[in-house]
Amino acid sequence: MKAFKYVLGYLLLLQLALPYLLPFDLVFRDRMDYNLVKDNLSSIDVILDNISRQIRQEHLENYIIILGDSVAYSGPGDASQSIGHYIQDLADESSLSNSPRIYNLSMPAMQMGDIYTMLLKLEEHQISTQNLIVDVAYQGFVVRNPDPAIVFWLQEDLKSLDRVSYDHVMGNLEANTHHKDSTLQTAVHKLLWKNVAILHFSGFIKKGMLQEGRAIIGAGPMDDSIGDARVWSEKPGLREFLRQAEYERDFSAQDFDLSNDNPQIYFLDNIIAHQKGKHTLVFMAAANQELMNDKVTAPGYVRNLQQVDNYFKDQPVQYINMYGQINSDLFSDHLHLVADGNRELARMLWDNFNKGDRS
Amino acid sequence: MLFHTPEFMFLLIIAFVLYYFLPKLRLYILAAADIIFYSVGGMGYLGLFLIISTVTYLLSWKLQGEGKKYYLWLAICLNVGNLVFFKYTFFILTNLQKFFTVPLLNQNSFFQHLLLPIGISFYTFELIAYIVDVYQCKIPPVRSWMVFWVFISFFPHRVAGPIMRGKDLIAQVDKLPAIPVGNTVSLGLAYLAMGLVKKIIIADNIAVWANNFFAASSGLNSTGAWVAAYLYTFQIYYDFSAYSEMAVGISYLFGIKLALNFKTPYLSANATEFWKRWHITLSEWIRDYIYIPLGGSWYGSRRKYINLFIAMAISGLWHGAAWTFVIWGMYHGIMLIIHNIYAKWAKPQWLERFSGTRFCHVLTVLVFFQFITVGWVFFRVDGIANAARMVFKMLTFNPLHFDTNLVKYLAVIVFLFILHIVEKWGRHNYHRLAEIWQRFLPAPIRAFAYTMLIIILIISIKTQSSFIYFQF
Repeated sequence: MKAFKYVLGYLLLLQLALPYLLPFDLVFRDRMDYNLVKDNLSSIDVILDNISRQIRQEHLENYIIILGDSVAYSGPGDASQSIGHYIQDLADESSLSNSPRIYNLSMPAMQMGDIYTMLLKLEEHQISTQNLIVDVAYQGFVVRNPDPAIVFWLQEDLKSLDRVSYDHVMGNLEANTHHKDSTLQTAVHKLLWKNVAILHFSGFIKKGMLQEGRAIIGAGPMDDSIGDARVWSEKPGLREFLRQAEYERDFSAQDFDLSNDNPQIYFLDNIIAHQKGKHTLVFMAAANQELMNDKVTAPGYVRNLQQVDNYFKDQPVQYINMYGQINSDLFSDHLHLVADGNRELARMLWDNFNKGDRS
Repeated sequence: MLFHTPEFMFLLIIAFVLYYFLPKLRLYILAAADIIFYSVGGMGYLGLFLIISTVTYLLSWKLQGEGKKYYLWLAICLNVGNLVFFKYTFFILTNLQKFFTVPLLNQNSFFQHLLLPIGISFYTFELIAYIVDVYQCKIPPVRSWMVFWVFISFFPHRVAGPIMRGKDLIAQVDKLPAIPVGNTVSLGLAYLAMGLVKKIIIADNIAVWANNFFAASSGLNSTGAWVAAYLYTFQIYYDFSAYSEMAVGISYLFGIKLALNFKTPYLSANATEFWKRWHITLSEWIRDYIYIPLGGSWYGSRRKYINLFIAMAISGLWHGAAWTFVIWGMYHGIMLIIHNIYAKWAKPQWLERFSGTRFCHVLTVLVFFQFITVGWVFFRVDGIANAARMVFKMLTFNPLHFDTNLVKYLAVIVFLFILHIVEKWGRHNYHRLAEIWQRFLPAPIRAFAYTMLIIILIISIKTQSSFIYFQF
């Protein structure tokens, strides 16, 4: 019984102290840790809390948020090869007196609904989106039948932060939900993960312990790459792999519906409305034109891309289309880039962002 | 809801606190907790479970009067029919279709998508045991529906056992307000912690390797096939015994004693001993409600062996609607028969002497472990042909072609076997170890160790992790 009381005491101590015990580098370094976040989405809130605290403590006013999918996340390479890291290098080397801090909050499989929800979450954590870079991809505009869900990761957050938008796309979300936990279990899960510090920070505690363990045995830092980061031409079987149905859908040349009925447009409109009066750069991620030549040169595909370009022409955001601007040798597969590709993309983003109306 | 999730633990704490502080309401608290935990798996399943158990409860009242035999068979048919409908209809129709080459199932058959109600195999066996025991006047029929419901649905054991008998559990449920809960809380926490460590730290990590090996089973060499089978052998033990020990531990928190299902089974020297140490409550059920009704050993050796074989084949089929499970059961039936023949054989004196040595015991344990391992291949692999191919690879092992890349996995397997021995030693010396722990370590240090354990368990939970035996 005495030991039990001590256990309660230790747990209470952890509950109060844990938020202040995690070093910032462990929580966020160049980008979110996908392997950690995908298993525990409440980790995103931990990251945002820490970024918010850093902004407050260091009185940061000049920072850029990057949101997007796996291209902006810079998979499959590691964090030191990501655009967040390279743009930070460029910012630090720039002649700007007050070089901005870069926070890349992209994540593989993020859809436009997730990006919009992230904006709302940033607001909730008092992180400004005054300077924002957003990545869009051709695949996002293709008709969903019904996958991928327009909000892949953050459905629950959207539900609580913007019920109107959630209801608007509920049909698509429900069609993509293959398994539903019981309401009771989901409710208890959310309650615990949000409020119990050991659960809330569990991913980071594990990461920290593993890092310490590796340091003790001299095993070097942890590798956060999420796949084979070699150049695509060195990957045997890639062409055959990309002939699967899901990739056929991704490169469909069927005419885009760029009305508000397309959930991609619905959320893009929401994002643009949210960013009114702020500096926002949207970039269309390029495809590997050598590997996917037959797809990206199809008349329907070219026409669709042109339509997207036209859509952005009428919007109060800065827009660049990366098609044809990145050499095929810099791709790791059909969409993702190798380290040098990410460096090149970062340079173009940095240059264009600075050409725009920076605040 | 899985035992090793924080959600379950949270609800468990609430149930425990209410149970502890409201002793007069314990029966109602447990009844409500059982409904809540079971309903998480689906309201439809809960409805079915309530109907089947209530009808069985009502039929049990008729098992001591006139025409009791008819009511017995009615209750058995109801329960077996429920199990067969949900678990075996697709299997039966598929086999009939193959055998008679008559189309019985369309492409998107209803039966193909029929989901197995949670714990159906376990509650069916428990309900059958109850009605047979009432029929044989071993126990009186329960008068209170609430007591019956808590007995049959008691949440720690509902999903995957242990398979409890009325005489053991109903008596405890009957006197819930008088149970001194405080006496068994420490023991309960110890079992719970052991189960959590076994599941989260050991079984789930072995599962990653085992699944990788089995996913590539067609390309495995002989050494690889053995490594895969060994890993699964330990995975299934740690996974299932973890569940059983958590069930026992959680029950102890409520002052209720459940039967132990495992006693370090891989240290068995033969099949007879193995079935006294592996899934004990199932093997006892099979013995009492299948093997003995078939005639047991009353009609001579030959009939005994046939009964053993049939009982084990049914035990295999109970695990799953696939021929591989039946083969696994028959394989164990054959091993039991061989051991029975060997035990009956008048051995020469030197062999009798040698059998009694420690060396012989160790040798037979190690040899029998290989037989157990081979059997698990049929349990794990889909399809008889695939399982047979893998077993063939294992049996054509050539030491000269030993794959040295797999040495690290073999080291893990040896470690797991040693852990199994340590577990036996730990269980044997539990009270002494507990006393040393309490006496020589001050409370703050013990509490620190417990807190560290809680942290390690929480950060090690894998998001996609269920228990192997939940599928049965």
